[in-house]
Amino acid sequence: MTDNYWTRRYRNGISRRRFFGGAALGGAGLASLALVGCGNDDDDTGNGGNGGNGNGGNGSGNGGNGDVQRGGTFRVGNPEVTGLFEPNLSVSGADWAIMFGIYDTLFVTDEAGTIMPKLATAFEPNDGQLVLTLQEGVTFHDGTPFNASAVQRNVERTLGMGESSRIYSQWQQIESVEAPDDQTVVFTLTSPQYGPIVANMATISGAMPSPDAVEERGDDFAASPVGSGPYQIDRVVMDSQVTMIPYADYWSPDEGPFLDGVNFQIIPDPAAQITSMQAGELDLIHYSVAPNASLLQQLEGTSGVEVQRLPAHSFSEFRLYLGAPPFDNPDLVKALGYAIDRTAILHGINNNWGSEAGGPINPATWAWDPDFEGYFVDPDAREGLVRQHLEAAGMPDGFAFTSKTPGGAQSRVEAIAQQVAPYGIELNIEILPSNADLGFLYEGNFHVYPSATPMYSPDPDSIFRPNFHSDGQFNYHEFSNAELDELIDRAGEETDQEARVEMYQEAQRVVFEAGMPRIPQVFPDILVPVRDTVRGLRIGWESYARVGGVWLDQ
Amino acid sequence: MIPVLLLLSTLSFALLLAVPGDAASAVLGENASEEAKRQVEQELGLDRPVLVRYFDWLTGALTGDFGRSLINRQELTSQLASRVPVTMELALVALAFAALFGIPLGIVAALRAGSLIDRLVMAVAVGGIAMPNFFLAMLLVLFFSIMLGWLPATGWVGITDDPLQHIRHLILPAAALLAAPMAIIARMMRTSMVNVLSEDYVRTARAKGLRELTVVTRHAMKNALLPTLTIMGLQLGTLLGGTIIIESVFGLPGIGRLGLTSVSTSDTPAIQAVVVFIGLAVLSVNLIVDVLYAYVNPRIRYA
Repeated sequence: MTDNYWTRRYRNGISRRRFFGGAALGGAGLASLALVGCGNDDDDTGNGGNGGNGNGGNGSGNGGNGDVQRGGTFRVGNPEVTGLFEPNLSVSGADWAIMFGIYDTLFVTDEAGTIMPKLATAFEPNDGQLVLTLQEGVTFHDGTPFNASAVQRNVERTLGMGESSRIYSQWQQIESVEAPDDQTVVFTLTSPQYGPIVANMATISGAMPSPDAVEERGDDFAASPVGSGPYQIDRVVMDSQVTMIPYADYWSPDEGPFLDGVNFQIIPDPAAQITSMQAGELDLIHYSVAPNASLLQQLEGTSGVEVQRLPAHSFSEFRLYLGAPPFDNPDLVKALGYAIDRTAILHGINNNWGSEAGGPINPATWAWDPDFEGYFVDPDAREGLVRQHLEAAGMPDGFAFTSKTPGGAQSRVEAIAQQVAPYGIELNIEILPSNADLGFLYEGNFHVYPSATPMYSPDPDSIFRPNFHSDGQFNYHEFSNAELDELIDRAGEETDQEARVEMYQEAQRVVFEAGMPRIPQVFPDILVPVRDTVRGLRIGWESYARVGGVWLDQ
Repeated sequence: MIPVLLLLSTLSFALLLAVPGDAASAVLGENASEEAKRQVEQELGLDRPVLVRYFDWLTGALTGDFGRSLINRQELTSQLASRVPVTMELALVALAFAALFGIPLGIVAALRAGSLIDRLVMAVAVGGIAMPNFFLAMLLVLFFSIMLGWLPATGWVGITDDPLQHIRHLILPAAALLAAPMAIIARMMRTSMVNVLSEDYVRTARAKGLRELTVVTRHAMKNALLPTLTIMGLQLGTLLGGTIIIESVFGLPGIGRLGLTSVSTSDTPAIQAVVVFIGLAVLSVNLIVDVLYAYVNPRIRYA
């Protein structure tokens, strides 16, 4: 049996049964381009890919919508709410579960990142242009129609805001937008990165506010948003609760809304979220805020509550500065990379809720390569590999470096410091204050910064381009590799899905061999405590809840 | 009072400047580009000189305008308006019940000084002072919410939305908050009462043949209350500090939560608003206590 994500999970003693049941999608492979000409056929989720990961639908074990029960209030525990429900302003994942109820996005994805239709029913790449066909019969909560003009106004507004918009970089490659008719939008691109930009449209960047309401409400729009989603904001009490009521004229009644309301209860303390769940006051603790693994274990045995697990789209890592010693030497990068015992970190820090990360492509993504090991090597081979690279670097007795460490990563870094010490690698820890100014990253004033690398969109391009491309937005590592740049650019332009899978897998091999400036450690699971009466819950590719189709089995 | 508040605001502003961390990082997250951060700092006015920012804030605050939060851009004056009632209600209810239980317990302990009851009451008092309120909160939730299911574990319901639910949501946070002040009040009341009961005028009252109840309530208690009143005034400040933790544990939308969130996001205007409010509240309560002192003690009134 090939050693892949699931076999690793079994080896770690984690039951697959605990994952969301949902409809297994089988091939998680085909993303964007499968949509061309697919119209409204939601079942066309593509083919090929990596054999599927069995968690595509992400329902909470419910069947179809035939037995939907209406009514009730869905109670969600959220750690905070910023009250900025405007896609251009919001950067808080805690707000996004609320926003995904208010706004429809142009496309949606499953957990694996497979693109599916929503407000846009199809797209077609064509010689530097991208043509979107829009859903008919959609209205915003204020009664105004959703059409090509609305998309054009929204995108042009974002482009006009520039860096003031938090989603500007996702739309940056749009040169111009045209709306030849109500149902057609034509984007002219500055570079033909078709797959990545369509994937962006399935994120919060693709959320469509009512442009009329944006103009009318001005600064107040963020607190009183108007979208076309199944729910609308009823009331926001900062630091207390956000209540949502159904939008009666929702364009797709089969997909919701089925509830009398959704109540996001703001509970900042993780332990209090747990007790609230135990006391029967919550139906879901929103994953992005879900308390840590050890706290969640308290829920074991709580009647009617299950902790669902989803593979994450991020990896914990060490970010390195390659522009100065010691990590200007790729062999020292690899020595450190191999010296880390990922299984021990997974066990000791992540409570075995995740899997070891040998490379940057996570196992829930359609580009996952089950044959790639990277830094995840046989324990018996570890010492030899570390010594070999230390020798090659001319530092057989080891070297020293400092990790500028945020408080949240302290225990992980301390554990790694102990792991690497026997090789003569001295890891010094400097603790950063909360909200530290991270300008030192851009100034090259660091050796190591421990963090987690997220996927910014469902497309693997968002792993590679921002972090490893020479022009990448977050490539403050001074890492540059011409072969990798060329590969990332070609993969973005490619329209054949199978070819794209191979290209990203090759990109993973290239960046690893070149001395990847982010040393992956663990793909942490996403933990979703949910009550067993909840049906129709979907978790997006980035693991934020989609409450639109939820109903309660009362 | 005003000079103290001015000093308080200046000191807190200066301290915030010295604390590491910046709001732009909190707004954008760690994966923001430098360009985006500079843009946000410009939008928020953080690129202006410190003194300009402070005097802008001060002139606004003097007219009741605390500006906008750096994080969610909402007006802080309206945020304060919605949060102050939550925190004040919680603190005042806790203080009222702390006095309601603490004063009789102190009196009983004083009347039976050295007895088993006295030792028991004082042991409970020491326990109340020693136990952190967040720990007590967890125990209360475990018992009353999870095991018995009588009271909600978290959340807040406005009194105008549902008065009964409002009270149910208030009980556990207030109970968690009142333990320490109740214990302090009981100890102070006991000490004060023991002293007063040994005074000559109490002996005289007893010698006159007055009932013990009258001696205790009319003669001893009124005098013993004076130091207890002072302690109660000081306790309100402690209670307001305690709400920072309790409001987070119980998910209450009060000033304490705003303070905690603001500190963690370096939201300077919001922190300033919270500091000024808490300062104002503590100073006001001390003023009220001084007035009450005069009411309870005629010697001060006529001095």
